[in-house]
Amino acid sequence: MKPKTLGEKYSYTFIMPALLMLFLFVAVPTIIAFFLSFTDYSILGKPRFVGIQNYRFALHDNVFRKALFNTAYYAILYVPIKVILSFLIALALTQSFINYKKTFMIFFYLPVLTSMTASSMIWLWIYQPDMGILNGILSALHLPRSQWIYGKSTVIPSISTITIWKDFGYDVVIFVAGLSGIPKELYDAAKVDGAHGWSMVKNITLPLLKTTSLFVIVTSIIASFQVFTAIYIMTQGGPENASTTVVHQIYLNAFSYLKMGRASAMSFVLFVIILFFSLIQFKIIRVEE
Amino acid sequence: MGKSKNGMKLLVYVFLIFIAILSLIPFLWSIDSSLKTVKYNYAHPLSWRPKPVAFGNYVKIFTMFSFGKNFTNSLIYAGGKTILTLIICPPAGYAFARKKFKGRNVIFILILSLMMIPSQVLLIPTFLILKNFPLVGGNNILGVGGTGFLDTYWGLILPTAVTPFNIFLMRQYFLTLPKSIEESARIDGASEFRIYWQIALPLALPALTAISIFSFQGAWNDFIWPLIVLRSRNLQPLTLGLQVFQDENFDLWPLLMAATLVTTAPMLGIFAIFQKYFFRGVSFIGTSK
Repeated sequence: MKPKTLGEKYSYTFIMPALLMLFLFVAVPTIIAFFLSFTDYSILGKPRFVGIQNYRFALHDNVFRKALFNTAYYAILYVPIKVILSFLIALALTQSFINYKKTFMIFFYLPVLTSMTASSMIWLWIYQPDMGILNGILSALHLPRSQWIYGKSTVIPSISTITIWKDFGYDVVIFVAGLSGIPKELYDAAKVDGAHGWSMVKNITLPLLKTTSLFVIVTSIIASFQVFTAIYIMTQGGPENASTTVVHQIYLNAFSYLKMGRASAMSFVLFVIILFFSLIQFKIIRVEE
Repeated sequence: MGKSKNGMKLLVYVFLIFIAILSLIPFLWSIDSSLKTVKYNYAHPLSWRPKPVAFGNYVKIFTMFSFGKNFTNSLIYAGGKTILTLIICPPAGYAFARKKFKGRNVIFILILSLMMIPSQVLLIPTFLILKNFPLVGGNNILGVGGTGFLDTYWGLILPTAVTPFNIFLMRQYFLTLPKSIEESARIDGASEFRIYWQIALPLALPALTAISIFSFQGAWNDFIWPLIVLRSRNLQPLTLGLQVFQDENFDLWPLLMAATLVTTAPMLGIFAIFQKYFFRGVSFIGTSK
């Protein structure tokens, strides 16, 4: 009996540091944020209870609504294009006749290694309206120039182009791992039965890749709702709020306007959106198991 | 049949090469631009042939931003965070995977549920916790009077070091090891700490490498957290340091590109050495869900 209790005691020593850190820097902050979201608080002075006013404000404020819309628009471009593209690339890479698979993967992974800050700087230069290479190419082809990140209708697609470029390599690696896990015999058997090309993809690859795809899709959706750095560096939400996003609004309200209560309420709106997608993922994975 | 197969092969290769070019072109273009003089770039922004080749840009940038200082700061942030992660997360993952103790499953599920909380919810409260941390940065025991951990390396490292995800990854890895490895040591009378330290931990090297790489990369490329926590220029990591070029005259594109590439180089160097572990780590994340 004694050694077992001793083992238990040790187990708690093993997990204690982690629990302490998570308690202090995740659990407690979440509770504080929840309370703050019902107050008016500017760091100076004490929080003043205001009920659900912050939530009401967030959902009626034109700028925050615009931010929700922009974020959703960004997600609708970013998620499907990136996931489908990464899947097709991974499918191409795992064909048995492909050589230099590693080399290709290294090339695709270079943007993933680059910080969002550095990527934003590079693309600021590419999108530069007067001297940038993209408008240079358009001019050379006698096509109308674009305002890219400086145009109201082009800014969100331009930003999602950058993040798709930056992130797809990560998904390629995950999809390649998933595809390599599918037993080759399944394809051989299907071939004997006369299946080929897309029918094999549809009937073997996609069903067996369901968990992997779901993981990639849900993590992409969650990431897309958190877009911030590119916006902060390249557009500051402009022109005329055409690219402000949920996290950009949280940042501005908290650290520029010092409306900490309002920003906390906005962060809980984001939390609910993300929770919705996380729960879908948990649920589907549960069902699989 | 053979002909269509070759056609297919060609098509797949063309597709992959096209995507590889798209991934690389922004880098090639920024390298090219970084080698032009500011004057030449202004006159010929689209030329691919810098005349004269201005290697001097790579010297000049060091007088414009304190690369050495920024680089050291990035290294302290990323290194400190990685070391703390390695000390705290693996023992917790080990205990959850290999030991039985009261409340194990409940605690583990609580930790997993913390994964759903987006980091943006934590921004404001964590900022407040750091600011009011007792007995540091001029604060008294009640956490008032000073700036706490704000504007310090600890303020960067502590809140981000331990993530539920890293504990989860370590647990998943330890679960795959056979039970027998500890048993003989236990019969020999080795202490629980020795079993962990000398037997289990060395076997977990692939998982340890994975969490190290991703902690390091996460901190190295982090933007929003340093933006919020830091005030002093001399603590800024590279991601913030790059911004001085944005404050300056915007015609300095070649210098901005040179600086951007220089900040990206260390991560590429790490990738060149540990490339195998990057891919394994990402695959592991994608398949261990």
